[in-house]
Formats: sequence, C-alpha cells, structure tokens
Amino acid sequence: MAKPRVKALLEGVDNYVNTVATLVAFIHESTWDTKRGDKLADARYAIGRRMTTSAANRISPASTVTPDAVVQRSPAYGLVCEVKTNIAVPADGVIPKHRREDIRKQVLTYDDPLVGWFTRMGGVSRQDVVLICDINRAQVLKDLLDQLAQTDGLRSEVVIVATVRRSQVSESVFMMEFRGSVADHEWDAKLRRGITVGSDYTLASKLGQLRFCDAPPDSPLHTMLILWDHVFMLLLRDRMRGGPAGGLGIDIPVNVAELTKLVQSFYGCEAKDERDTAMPDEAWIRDALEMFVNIGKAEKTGSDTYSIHYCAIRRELAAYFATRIADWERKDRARVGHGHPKQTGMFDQPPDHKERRPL
Amino acid sequence: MGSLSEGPCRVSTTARTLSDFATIWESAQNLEQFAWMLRNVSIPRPLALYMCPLFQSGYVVSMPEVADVVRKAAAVQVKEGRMLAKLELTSHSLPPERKTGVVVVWPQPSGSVLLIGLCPTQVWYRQVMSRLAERSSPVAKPSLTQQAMWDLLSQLDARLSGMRLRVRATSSRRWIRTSSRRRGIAARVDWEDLSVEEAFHEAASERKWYNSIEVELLRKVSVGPDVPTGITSRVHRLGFVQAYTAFPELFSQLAPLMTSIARERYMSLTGRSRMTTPEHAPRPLLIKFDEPYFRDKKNNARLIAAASGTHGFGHAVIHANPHVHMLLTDYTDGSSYELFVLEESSVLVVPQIEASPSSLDRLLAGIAVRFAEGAVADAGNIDGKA
Repeated sequence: MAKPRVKALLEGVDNYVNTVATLVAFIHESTWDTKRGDKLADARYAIGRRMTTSAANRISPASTVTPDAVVQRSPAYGLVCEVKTNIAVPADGVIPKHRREDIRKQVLTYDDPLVGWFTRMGGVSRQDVVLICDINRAQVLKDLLDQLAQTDGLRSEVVIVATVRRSQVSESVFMMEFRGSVADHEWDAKLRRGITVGSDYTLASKLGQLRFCDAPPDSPLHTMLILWDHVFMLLLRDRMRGGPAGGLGIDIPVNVAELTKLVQSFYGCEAKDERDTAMPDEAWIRDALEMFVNIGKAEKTGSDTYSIHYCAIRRELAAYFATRIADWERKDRARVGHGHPKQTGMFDQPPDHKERRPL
Repeated sequence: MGSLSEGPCRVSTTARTLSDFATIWESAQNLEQFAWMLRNVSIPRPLALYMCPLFQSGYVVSMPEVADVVRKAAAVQVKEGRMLAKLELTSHSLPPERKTGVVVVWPQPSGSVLLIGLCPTQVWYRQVMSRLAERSSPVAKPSLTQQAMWDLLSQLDARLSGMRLRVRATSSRRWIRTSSRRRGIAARVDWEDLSVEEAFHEAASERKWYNSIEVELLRKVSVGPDVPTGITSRVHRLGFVQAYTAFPELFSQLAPLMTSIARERYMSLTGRSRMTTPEHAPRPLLIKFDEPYFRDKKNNARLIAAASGTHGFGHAVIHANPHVHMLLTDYTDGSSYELFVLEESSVLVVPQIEASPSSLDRLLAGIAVRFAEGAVADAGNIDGKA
C-alpha cells in the first residue's frame, strides 16, 4: 500500500491529466460542426487567454482576467470556460463559504462583456459562461448558481456542463448540459441529450497532446515526469550516438527559459499575440527543476540554469519520484519543525511563482 | 576426461573457422562471391551464422560510424566500403571459444546494410550484433510480424529450385486459461514436421504466435519422400536468421526478402517523431488484437509489464485501471512514447518528440513477444473524428 502522500501525489497527476483532457473534450465539441463533420470554419479557441473586463464589472472593473479557456464559435458568439472538475465538496454537500465566495467572484467577473475575442473590435455580441464540472458536483454547483442568480443577478447565461468519464465499450468523456442553455439551438439540443468524446481524441489527437492548462499542476510531479520521460533525452540526443552507456549517469545542462519554450511547443501553448498566455509558466518548470534538486537528481548551477543528473531509471518512474518527493517533504517539515529553516542557496530567488489556485 | 582432450581441439577448430571466414571476406569481390565461397566452410558448434538486414532510406551506414559503435573491437578491417570486425566479449566468464566472434557489415546497393556474424553464442549475438544494430539508430533493424514470417518463408519456399522447406521446430507463445477465471501466456517449443503453410494455419487455429521457426531444406525427389539435406536455418521474430551452414539461398534469396520486409517495416514506422511532423501533431499507431484482452483488467498490468520490459526502456504509469495511460522512454536513443488502452482490444501508441523507427520497432516487437501479437496500423486522423 502506497503511503498516503505518495498516493496523493500520483492521484494529483492523474487528476490534472483528466482535467486537461476534459477541457480538450469540451473545446473539441464546441468547435465541431456536426452537420459538416468537420471543425467550424470560423471557430477559434485559446487556453488561458487574457481578457479585459468592462468598467462596469462588479468584481474587477477594467482589468485583465484569464479564464481557463475561451471558445469563439462564430464572430458573434463566444464562451468563457472554467473547469471545476475537482471542487472539494464535503460529505454534507455544502461548499465551504470561502470556496463559494471564490466561485461567486469568478462567475461575476466573467458575467460581463469581456474584450479580447478574435474579432476586429475584440468583442462578441453574445457571450455565455460555461462551468465544466464532474457530474457528482453538478447539483451543488447548480444550487450555488441559482442562488447567485437570485441574490446578485446574472446578465449572461451561465451554463453548467457536467462530465463523467466512461469506460464501458471504450474510454470516453460524456458531457451534458446540466444548467442553462447555450445560444446555438441545435448544439444546445445536442448538449442537452449528452455528447460522448472518445478518449483517443482527448489524449492522442493534436489538441490532446496538451498536458497543461491555465492552472498549475497540484505538485511538480506532473511536470517532472514530462521532463524526464520526453524532454531531457532530447537534449542528450547528440551524445547518445555512442550507445546506451553514454546515457547513463550523465549531466545535462538546462536553462529554464529554453526548457520552458520547448515544453510549451510540445505539451502546452505558445503565446501567439499579447493576449495569449504561454503554458506552462516558467515558474512551473522552475518548480519541477527545484524538486529535482531536492531529490538529488539535479544541481542548481546559476539563477536560471541547472545541471540534471540524468540516468536510466528502471523502476516505475511516477511512483519512484512520488516516493522521493514525499520523503523530501517529510524531512523538510522535520527540519523546519526543529527550528532549522530550509537553507537557501546563493542563487535562490524570492518566491515569484504563480499562486496555485484550486481547479 | 573427454572434455580435457576436446577443449583445445575445439578452440583451434573455432579459431580456424573464424580465420577462414575473414580470409573469404577479404578475397570475395562481392556478396554473391562471399556466399559462394562460404558454402564450403564447415561451421562447428557452438559457432552459428547470424544474418540481419538494417535499413534506412537514403542513408548508408558510414564505416567510421560503425567502427565507433564497435570501438571495443579487437580488430577492424575496412575494405571497399564494407567492414569486418573480430570481437571478444570481455565481461563474461565464458571459455575462450565462446567469447570470440566475427561480424561483417556489408552495405547493399539499395541503401540497406547486411549484418553477417559468425557468433559463438546467442549472448554474443545480443551483446555485439544486436547492440550494433540498435546503436546504429536511426538505422532500423526491423522485427518480423507473424504475417511477415509467413510471407518470408512462403516466398523462400517458392524460390527454392529442386528443394522445399520443412518446418522442424517452433518456439511459440499463446494465451492459456489456467483456471476458470485466470489467464496467462504460455511459451512452448514444439518439434514439428509440417510444411510452411501447415505451420502457419496451425498457429492461426491454435491462436499462437511464433518467436522463431526452424526450417530444414528437403531435396525433392521424383519417387518416394523428399530427402532431408541436414541444412537448417532458424528465422527469429526479432529480425534475424540463424544458420549452421552457409547455404547459397541464405544470401541469394533470404537476405533480399528480409531486406524488402525490413524496408516495408521501416517505411511504416518512419516519420512519426513529433519533432518532424507539421505543427508537432502526433502520428499514433494502433495495435489491434483479435481478442478483447482488456475486458479482463488484469491484462492491463500484463501489458504494462510487456511494454516496460522492452530492453532499454523506462516507464511511468499515469493510470492503470480501467484505462491505461503510460509514458515510455527509450534510454538507448532518446525516443519516447505515450501508450494508451482505451478499448477492449486495442492499444494506442503515440510517439512523442523523438521516435526513431528502430526504437518504435523494438517497442512493438516487445509487446508482440511478451503480450500478444496484434495488427499494427496507422491510427488515422484522430483530429478528424466527430
């Protein structure tokens, strides 16, 4: 039986992959033209796009906000999407007050004619807000939104799309409209009946290669696995012509900015204009590299450079890294608990990481 | 007592054969002549002749590159674009006659390369010839599917003049039901007396897949049963042929057939690295099995073990049940993959940033040998699905 922290770290990776896959499934579905069996000609989407609120915004007037995704089905109609797959709901079914307040603020922020769409003036004539959540959280979220509609009043249509992972004949994500209705009647009817998107699409298509969304992973483990399994060997490639022996126990110098760009181009998003957010954030990559340092798999060689002690690990990597992280966390807690704060290296920077926020 | 008197004698016989092999290589003008001269050389056990084609389109393995790979060679000779290396394994506590062998790298006009080795043991083959092929990446040493083995032997059978093939022994694997609910894979070796067609029809009916097939050449006679010649050859799934006699058809018929299959395999596996595809889009492969193996979720673990057990691979499991999502890294050349089980009877392999045909071939062969053989095909345009 895995230790609870190891188990939590592993589940965190799986949940994050599922969250991204759910977002991919919704983007796919909302940009799909059922009649033609192809992508909607005018559809555009972006993950983590910076949008500007109006001066009349009830929470953040005239400021920049970053929804998980925006989907523009046509030049006139846009959807602001937030993924809420992992809202923690206690056994009594009541969302804690502070979380309810977070959701309220978020919904009211997006309940506003945002600017930043892919149109000449940056606006759309109709904009709906879509909250994507697990089916077992849908009712709680619906109650909260209904209450919000009464107390604060909602100007946009706030739609809840409930999702569930199915594995009967084949793995798929099933999604259906649980509250509200989207503007396109035909699509609305389809979404109301429920739509199944195959996991082959959400995980193995071009868009399905996305492994990061706007929110950072719960722990650096997810990024560490991608780096170790898919990226570091790439930097080593030229040295590998000599054979496998060359790849064992070798130091790979990496630069945070270059590494981030590489990961963004294959597993995230690159910023195409000033409103786009590039993902993963440099801070997430730095987090992962710092954790490699903590578990003895890397050394910090400068403010933005690290040397990875790369070697062939034959054990199952996710559990191996999770165990090492859990051990380091335990020792770190003990050190802090005994009044010995964590030593800071000469290159350590003050924490400037993007604040982790719940999905 | 016998071993004391036979030891030095065997060493000298082995050494003489290796020396004859090198002399023939040096004096032969081309591969045909080499094959012709080699037919009279007796190959004493434990020596065996191994042959495998390497292929990459538009790229001929350069001699310095190969020489670099076999840099531990005791002696390397290069002549007219071909190479002979005599190597001795140093890390094994084997008797001397089991440590030394010779490997020849013979470039073909088509751009392929024929690797011919006179190997004292299978360990030597794996340590030297197989590693040479793997390290020469991006050159592919394609493995053979069941269908490819069938095609290869059927075509060889048809091309033999005055002779035919008889399947003498097979090494196979198949799924068995060990109790009412449990299933497992059983490996077995069978002595046979079948024609090529009969052997593969039997495999299909018994739902087994061959790892190797030993065939013997029979001389056709007008009256009475065909006469065994004693010339045998073993075709291995991992893409090489083993023989104890350098019969002419080994080079004149079997080598070009294997090269052609190698080329086909290479072409199906090439260009799948996301580094080279437009917009880094993935080009997944689908392994389709004829049975819904993954209805039984215990087989998820079997597949994970089969894929991660491929030589030189590391793995990370993101999800194991009910669906499988795992990451695979080939530490030998930097290729990496994501592997999914999303349906009851298929596995989706998504090559990542780097994915050499050689590495992809080893992964697919690893799954075929240790889990089950399925039909491998391009997964098609997943982005175009509704």
